[in-house]
Amino acid sequence: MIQEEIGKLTKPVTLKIFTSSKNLQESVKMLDVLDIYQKASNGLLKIEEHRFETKPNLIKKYKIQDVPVILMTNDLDQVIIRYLAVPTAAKIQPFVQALMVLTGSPNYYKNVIKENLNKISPTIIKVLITDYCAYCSTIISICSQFALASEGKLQTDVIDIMAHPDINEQYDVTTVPTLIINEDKKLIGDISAEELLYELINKTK
Amino acid sequence: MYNIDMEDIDPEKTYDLIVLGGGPTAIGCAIYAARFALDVLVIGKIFGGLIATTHLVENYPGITSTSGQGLMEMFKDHMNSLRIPYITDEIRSIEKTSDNFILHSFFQKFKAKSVVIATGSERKKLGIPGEEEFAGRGVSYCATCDGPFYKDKTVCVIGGSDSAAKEALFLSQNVKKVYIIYRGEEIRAEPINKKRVEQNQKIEIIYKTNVTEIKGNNTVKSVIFDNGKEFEVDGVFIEVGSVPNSDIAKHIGIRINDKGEIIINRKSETNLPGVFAAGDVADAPFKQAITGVAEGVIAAYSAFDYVKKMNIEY
Repeated sequence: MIQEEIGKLTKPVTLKIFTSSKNLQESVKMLDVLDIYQKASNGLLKIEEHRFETKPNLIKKYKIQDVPVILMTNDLDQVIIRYLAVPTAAKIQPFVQALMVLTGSPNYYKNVIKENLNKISPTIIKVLITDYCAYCSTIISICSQFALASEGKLQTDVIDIMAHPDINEQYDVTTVPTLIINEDKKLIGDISAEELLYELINKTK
Repeated sequence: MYNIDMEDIDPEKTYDLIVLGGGPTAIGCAIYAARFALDVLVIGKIFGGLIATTHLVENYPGITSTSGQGLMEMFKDHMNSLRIPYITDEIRSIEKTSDNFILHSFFQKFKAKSVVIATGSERKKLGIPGEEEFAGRGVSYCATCDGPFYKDKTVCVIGGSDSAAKEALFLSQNVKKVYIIYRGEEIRAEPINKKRVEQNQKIEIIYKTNVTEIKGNNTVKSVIFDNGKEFEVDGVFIEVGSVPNSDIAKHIGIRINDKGEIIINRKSETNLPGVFAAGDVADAPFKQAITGVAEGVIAAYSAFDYVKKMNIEY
């Protein structure tokens, strides 16, 4: 499925990945999966690997706390989407979709997000997911496209809480998907794009 | 959006058919519509429908055993092979014009010659104290999504349907103990699943009991029975049926029954010409993925017939 999806990419794009020997197994797994993406991308996907231990300036710049992490950045080098999750299974489609939108493919929510941009405060949306969650793919897709349309105001962090039990414990998650809006508001379940926008407009601090 | 072929989506054009929904009924309908050469668009709030939360599907002909998510992956692949465009959005209202329908969402509006409503149903709430308060903190409506969080813990499933039995069976793989709490005298599961429940050492059924309250501190700690007894559990899975997502139909004057289901005939026609309905949102007495797909297929054919006649009249 990775090959089929990444084959749709038409423009070059670069991903940054930060790995660490402290989380070696997950780092190797993420690199292996990205290697599959890269090989199937007809040379369009470039991977920039950085070691957490050796790049303190970049760690500071991108505000990296947990590894391994994949960063999707915009033209201004702002982080738009973070994947603290290996993009396999149900994450493949929203992951590739985000890459495509990042490189200019249409974004369904773009116009409405832009119209409401002045009502939205800078916000980090943490999307807490698992591999076996039926509706997580759709929620990742919505949150990612919102971030991609927001001109840097929104950042979406996709977090596999089974791979990051410390984060799971921090938010006391017993339902997926769970969205954490700016460390404040917790939304659970299959919320719609409209409901999410409502929360971002009315509830962000 | 699930299908990433945005280039195939054109909000300006008038589609032959717009299918509302993201479950097997909607996708089955769209597949047939595409094969009838209708210009079809699918708009769904969540791809997969309720079936995607089922851990075991063993009654879909041709597929011996798979998960609900696995089944929907196959539906998605089939839909993508026909390049059927899919949008993740929720249509809020349908407006009838002299010759078309205009469908409004918060993000966009679409035009269509015909519409199939296959918006399915959603899990029914119990409506008891503590249910809303502990949602996401011990109260769940999806065992496949949330079951793994309860490893070696004690949980209960409220309900006595086949779905409740399957939820309990799935949960038993991880938890220490599952109690099925049912108000009736015998659970209504398919005999094969009932037998599995009875043979499962981790599952115990508490009959003739209603849960009247869910209690806890930060997370769920116990439930209260209608006999006043407090019963300790770490998680509560509610499986007491579903309610049809038929609000969209009510607003345009489509007839619904007292259960909120859209009334259709054997052609999946509603009382409003050009609007069809199928699956869990419609008034069939027996609701399964396979029966929903069948109704969706009939709806696709009826829409094809409707559009064809409409085009001849032009």
